[in-house]
Amino acid sequence: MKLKMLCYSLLASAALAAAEGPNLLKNPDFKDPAGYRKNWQFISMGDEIFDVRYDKEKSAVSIASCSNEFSGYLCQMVDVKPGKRYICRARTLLPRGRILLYAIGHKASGEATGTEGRIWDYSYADNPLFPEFIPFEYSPGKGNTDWKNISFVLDVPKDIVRYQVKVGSYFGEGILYVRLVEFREILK
Amino acid sequence: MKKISITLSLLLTMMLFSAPQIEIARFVNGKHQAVPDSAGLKVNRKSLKKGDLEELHLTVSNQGKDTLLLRLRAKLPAGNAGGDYWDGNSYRRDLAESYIPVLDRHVFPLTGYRDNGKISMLGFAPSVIASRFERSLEISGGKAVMNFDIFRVLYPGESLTDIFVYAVFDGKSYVEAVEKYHLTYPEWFRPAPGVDQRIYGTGGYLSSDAALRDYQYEECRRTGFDWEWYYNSYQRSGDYYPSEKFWDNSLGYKQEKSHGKCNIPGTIADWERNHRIRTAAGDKTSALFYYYMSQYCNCDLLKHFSDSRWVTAGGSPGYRVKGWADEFWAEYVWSGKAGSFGKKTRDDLVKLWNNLTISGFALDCAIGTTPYYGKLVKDEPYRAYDKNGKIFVLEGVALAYNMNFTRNLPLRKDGRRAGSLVNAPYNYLSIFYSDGEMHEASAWERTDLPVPHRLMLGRKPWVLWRGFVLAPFLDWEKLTPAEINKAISGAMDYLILFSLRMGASPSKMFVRGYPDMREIKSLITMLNRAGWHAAPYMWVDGVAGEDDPWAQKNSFWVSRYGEGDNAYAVISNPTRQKKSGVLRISGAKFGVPGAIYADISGKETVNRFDRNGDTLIDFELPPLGYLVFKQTGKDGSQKVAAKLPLKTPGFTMDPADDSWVEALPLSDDRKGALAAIVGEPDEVAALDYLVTSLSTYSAFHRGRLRVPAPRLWHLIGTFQARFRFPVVTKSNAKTIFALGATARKNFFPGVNARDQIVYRQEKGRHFVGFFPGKMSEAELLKAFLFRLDKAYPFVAGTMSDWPGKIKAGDKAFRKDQPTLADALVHPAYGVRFALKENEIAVARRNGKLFLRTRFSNDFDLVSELIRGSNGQFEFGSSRKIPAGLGVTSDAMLSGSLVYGAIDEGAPVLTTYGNVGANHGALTALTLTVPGHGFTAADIGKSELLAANKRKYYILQIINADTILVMSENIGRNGIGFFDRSSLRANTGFTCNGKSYKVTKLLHTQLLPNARIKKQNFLLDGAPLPEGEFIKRGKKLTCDESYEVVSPVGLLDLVLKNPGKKVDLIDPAIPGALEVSNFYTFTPDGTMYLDQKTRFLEKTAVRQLGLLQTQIIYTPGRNPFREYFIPKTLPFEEAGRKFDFAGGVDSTAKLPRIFFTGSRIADPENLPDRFIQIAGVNNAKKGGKVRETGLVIGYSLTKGATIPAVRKNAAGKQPVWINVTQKSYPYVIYSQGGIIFQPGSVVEASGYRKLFDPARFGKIAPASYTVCENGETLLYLHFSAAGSVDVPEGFSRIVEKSSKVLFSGGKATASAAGEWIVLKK
Repeated sequence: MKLKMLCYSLLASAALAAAEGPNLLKNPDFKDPAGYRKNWQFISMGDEIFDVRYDKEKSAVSIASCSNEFSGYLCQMVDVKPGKRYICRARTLLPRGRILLYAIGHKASGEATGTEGRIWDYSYADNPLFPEFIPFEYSPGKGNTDWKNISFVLDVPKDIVRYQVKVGSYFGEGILYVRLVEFREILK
Repeated sequence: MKKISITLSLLLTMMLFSAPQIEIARFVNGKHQAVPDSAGLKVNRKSLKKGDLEELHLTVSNQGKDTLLLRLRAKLPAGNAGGDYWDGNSYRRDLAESYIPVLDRHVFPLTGYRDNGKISMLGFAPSVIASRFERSLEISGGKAVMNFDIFRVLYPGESLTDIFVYAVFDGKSYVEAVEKYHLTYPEWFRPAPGVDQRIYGTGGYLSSDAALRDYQYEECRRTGFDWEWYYNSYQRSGDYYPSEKFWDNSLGYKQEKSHGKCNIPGTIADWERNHRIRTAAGDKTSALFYYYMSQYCNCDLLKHFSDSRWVTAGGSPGYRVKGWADEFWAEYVWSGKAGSFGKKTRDDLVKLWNNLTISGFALDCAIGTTPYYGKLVKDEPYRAYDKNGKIFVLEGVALAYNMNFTRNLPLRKDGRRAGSLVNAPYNYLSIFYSDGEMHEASAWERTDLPVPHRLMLGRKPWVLWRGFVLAPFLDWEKLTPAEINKAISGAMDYLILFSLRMGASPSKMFVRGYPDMREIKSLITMLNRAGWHAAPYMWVDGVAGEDDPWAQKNSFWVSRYGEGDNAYAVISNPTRQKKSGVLRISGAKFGVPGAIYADISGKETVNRFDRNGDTLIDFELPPLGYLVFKQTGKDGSQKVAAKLPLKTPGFTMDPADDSWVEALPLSDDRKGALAAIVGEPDEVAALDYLVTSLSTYSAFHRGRLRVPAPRLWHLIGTFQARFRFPVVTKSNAKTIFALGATARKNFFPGVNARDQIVYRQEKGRHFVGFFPGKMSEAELLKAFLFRLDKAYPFVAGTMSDWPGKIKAGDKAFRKDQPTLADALVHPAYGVRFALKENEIAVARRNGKLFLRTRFSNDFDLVSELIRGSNGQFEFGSSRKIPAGLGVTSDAMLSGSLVYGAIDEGAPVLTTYGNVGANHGALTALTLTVPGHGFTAADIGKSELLAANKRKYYILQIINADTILVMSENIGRNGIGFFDRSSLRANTGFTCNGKSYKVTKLLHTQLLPNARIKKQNFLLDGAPLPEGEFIKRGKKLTCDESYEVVSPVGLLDLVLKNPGKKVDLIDPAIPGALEVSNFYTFTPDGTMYLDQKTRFLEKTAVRQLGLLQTQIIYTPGRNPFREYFIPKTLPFEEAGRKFDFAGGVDSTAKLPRIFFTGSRIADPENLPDRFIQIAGVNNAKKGGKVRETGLVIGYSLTKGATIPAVRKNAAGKQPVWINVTQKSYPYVIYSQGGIIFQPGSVVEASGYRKLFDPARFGKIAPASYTVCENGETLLYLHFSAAGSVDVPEGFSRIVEKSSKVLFSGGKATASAAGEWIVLKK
């Protein structure tokens, strides 16, 4: 699985240089006049710990979690072409907590499968090892909490026709911001 | 006056300390409403004092006709708004508004509010079983009121009693409320009486196998393993003890290594036999907690327990899983008091307890917060209703019921009670009813859980499970080895400080491969057994945070354990800055005013006291350091200096200097076991598994060193029985462990010791006996095994996720080593017990002398130091051994051969042959003359005439057919010379007119040919002990001097004493020359030789070499050899092209090669270092793997080897390689011989070293360091163009070739064959 993720990361890097198709997600930047959640659904293990809202100053959705107990994600279904390659990308800011961006494949029957791509990002701000026991500089990203893109690449199996794209808080007390989510075909 | 005011204050407090108001509401139509009288609710209320707390017993009875959904609310006024509130899980300061916590997981059923130094606490007693409770803080009109709600459902006719608890007291932190709660209900916060106390130790999996039971004892002892999470041993979940009805013979049962899947077809009897044997063996060293998950039932089995099928709020079945709780599909099920599944579960638990040697049960995923809405709710009294009014009972109620059930099973004969360990509890019921918790995470995951869980556990054990999960946290690709080392060390420091602070016990997964963790285990276990306290009642003066002592960000961490004589205070520094301060311990708060403490390290601790009886201790803490103080007294006043007495082990060793333990011969590679356990069967059997532990000691250690990291179950076939010490009644073994009274009497007659381990050595044999007193023989044996571990350390290789990142999976990690390479030590983790960086070890074993030095990060080198033909020092063979092996005499016999030295000391070639070192003057002939008839009377008397009339004299009559003869001296100009060619086998000789036939003639060296004048081995300046020993030191020297006797003088003596036998080295024979060798052996593996050759008679010297070498040994398959001789030029010989400066492949036999003339790069600077490398070709590892280097070289800085001197003495042939592949370098080379007058001296210095050719990579494999008279020189020889990082400190150039640049810490060669020598 780790090897697979490495491959995905490499592919993602390679894909940066490749041509990409249009963003298949609707309301990807949460700026729909009908509301920032238009076309998005927030699904969590326990809504009571989450505070989801649109932050005008940051032009992004914020997901605040007051506990590590549950995860919660903004979700949207997107249709795909079997056999094609896609990149899933999110523009995020993570002062504290953990982000997970992932996609779960669905068959035409609607059955969810285990076929998925995923990428995590940790702020390390809530991890007691940092900074006294391990310097922030040693962590991936070196403790940098600037805006960044996280992404992964998917090769769509033959029996998968759509993905549920999910971005949100992965069992992490804190707050995260998502400005843009993309799901694009990588054009050869 | 002051006393009066305190009393008034107390009275005031008591007056304000009013009972909470009780509000009972009924849930109707989605709302809580007042209960009308018509509902038939009867309430009975009773107050009781319980310790420092007040109990309010509230009994509610439904005497009406309708089901009552009741909220029982206790309301406690808590002072003004703006105080600090602890909601049973989280702590919030300065609350100005009402607050309702959102989380209902991980919640202590108690709350606290602090206002103006007063703490109000409200909750319910631990005996209350509630499926739902809530808490909130109401702020209104500037006042705060604490609410605590219990939700109940009473069917008509039912009644239930709940107990609210409350108190108001002066305090600084909410944790004091928890402390009072713990003290009031102590039985809920300790393992139940009789529960196996090993539960406080190191937990994990035994990971054993039926074939390895004997070795399991050692595995446990070595890794400090105390209890097992006896994982998933049933065929199907729900049939925890197999029953005929559900058993499938074709599936059978599970071996440990199958980990969840049946892999051995068999019957129930097979299952029983397997587990009886397994538990009986395991229990000897470890408490076993049988795993079950009462909330899951195999889906097929569930058909038989359909009444217990789980029902969710929506009416659907429960969660299903496959391959985890069960090999097949399993689903959630109700296992409480009501229903058939709960009964079946408990029946099985009874059978397990009765039939297996277990200490209790391990309940996996004991979450406890999942609500069950099925029909059985009606039979479960502790039901509640949800926000929609639906009636449920919480999973935790069932878990509590079952744990309470097993806790009350009949005790074992040894008094043991069935304990329960839980994993992943979310609910207080799972924790309160357990005897300990397994936290399936490391200390830095789910950091929100430790505090609430620890508070709910009280003094119960709490085990951190997952090991050093670090992979996601570090930017591995970009970190240097030193940074990775610092990071992992930091994680270990965190774990250690966290464990000391929170009373956590790291599992076996944190211990294997981490010697620091193994070493601190006993301290952690001791503290946890003493009992963790919620309220430390101590703080550092002038530092914020006392109100929330368990907050992660506090700048100091403090904790308190135990009571009375077994009380401890711990303070640690969770920062990278050195810190100091005054630790204030408020002993009066826990009944010990003026408590006196002493540092457990044995340092003196100065205790000061203030007027309140607080103890003040000035402390200094290093970064990430800690101090542990033991309470040693009370009622201290003014100033008390306390110091703990030195801890004595309770027994003594005889001899008291226990270094004999290291010297005990236990086993060797060739012969196997050298030790035996001797005793009468009954007496030995009484020592039980410890005998097996001792018997397998060497076999286990040797096997584990080869395969350190994998779990035990992978090691079938690893342990060799030939290394086991036999257990017998008689033995001639080299080492005898005498066990039992009979053996003690036999082997130690007259010894009447008590509490003593006695050692005797006699006629090369070793005897160890264990003499009990207050300590039993078993305890002494156990203590001895731990002492032995210091000599034979092992704590396994790391198995966490991070070592894979840096390919260090089979190594152990010790924190805070200077580099990663040094930190990743051998699995034996010898850092402490094996050879240190700056050490050597010397041992005498079986009469042989051994030297151990460093070779590389992974290996040490053991070389035998022998005596040569003249009794002089000579090099023996060398073997590599794992660097982590303890410094023992056994280790000196182990390892793999890397060099078989023969005749390495160079002689002096004179006109009468090579003399000195291993040689004798080649002046004699051994003649086989059948039936010669000569007698001793002919020695030096009879003249034997060769055909050319050359006279020969008999030196020795070897036997009736053989004589040793020597010619008359035919030398000229005062230089002796002897004729060995005139007397020939074909012509024979005549004597006194009689002819003699010679059937065989051998040219013979006179041996011995030298008188040893001194030979002193000194370790750090002290003579080596007599007999067998092993010692560590910094430097070994051998100061040796021998006199080579003159053959001229020998002949003279023989002729002057006709008819007498003459010793070849008779003191009366004058010396020809005297050789003084001063050898210095240093930890880096250098042998440095300073040699003085003083001529005692006029001598013509043709060659003087100082050192010489054999061909290097080649290991393994597809071996290769390389030969490097810097300062030479390319040439052709026997049709082969050679470039020794850049390195030649010498795998194929070399022709005879003379390095002369055009083969020398610079006649002014002759080749002076001769380097061979051996290795194997391994395609998987990228081709050549260079394993061992061997160099002999000459000093560049002193004596006759200085290039400017040597060019004249050896310029014509500085070195040659014989067809035997032996190399002969020269300090002096002269075909005609250089004449030395008596009294003249030649001084020469050089070195010999076996070195790691991988140290400087492929660019410069023939590179090494040499320690020369206290100074280290770095020799870099390039086999290709490129750069080498020069180790820090080497800055001065001694010499270099023209195409090498040294700059910025790098040496760069623009071509192969270049070289540079640097010093610091």
